[in-house]
Amino acid sequence: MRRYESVWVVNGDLSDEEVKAVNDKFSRIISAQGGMLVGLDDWGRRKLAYRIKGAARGYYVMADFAGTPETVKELERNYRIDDRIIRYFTTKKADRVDLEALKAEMAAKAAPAAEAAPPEAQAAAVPAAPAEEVPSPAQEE
Amino acid sequence: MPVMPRRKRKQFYVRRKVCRFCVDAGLAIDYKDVNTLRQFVTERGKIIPRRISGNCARHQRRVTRAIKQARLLSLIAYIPAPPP
Repeated sequence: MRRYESVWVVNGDLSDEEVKAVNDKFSRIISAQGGMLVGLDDWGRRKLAYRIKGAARGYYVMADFAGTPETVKELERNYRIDDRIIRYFTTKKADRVDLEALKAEMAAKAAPAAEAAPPEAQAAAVPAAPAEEVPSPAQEE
Repeated sequence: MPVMPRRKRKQFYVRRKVCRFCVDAGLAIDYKDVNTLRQFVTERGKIIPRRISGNCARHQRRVTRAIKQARLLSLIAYIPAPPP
């Protein structure tokens, strides 16, 4: 499993209900394709920098999920079919995902009230972040 | 720096530009971070060259890529609308 981040832009001329329907649909596609949705980040309606398919505004949603390349392939195929989606973009955040740690992280996030439960889960839940941190070159004064 | 003539007339200093992303390791380059990316784009929407931005090669590549990704998502314009 890999960790991905996929942003889709729904045509901003659509009603809130319709946008919601689209978001639900694609969340379901991720899950149905063996993906594990970690979070949906709703950026809301934004003005587009340029018009896309006649729309001047777009509703942005970013899905953070763990999945396989097939998950992404199927997801993007569906993006292309659905003409309510005016733009999409998917990037890989990590090549490996520790599913157990991810589940613990999600559980911890889902139950902030019951934080008594797993204090060490959060420590273990540091995701497989991209290891490549930038070494700063030596600087001469 | 060019070799200066002995007569100390036109002494100028070249302020060494340093890559902001190297100096501050906490500074991430991300296509979603529109405000940061805007600083590396001219008013006309062109990507500012390394020579001027002072970024190191590695970070300039990442900035460039992030800008292009942001353009795709219509977060940044390819060709900004002229100001009113």
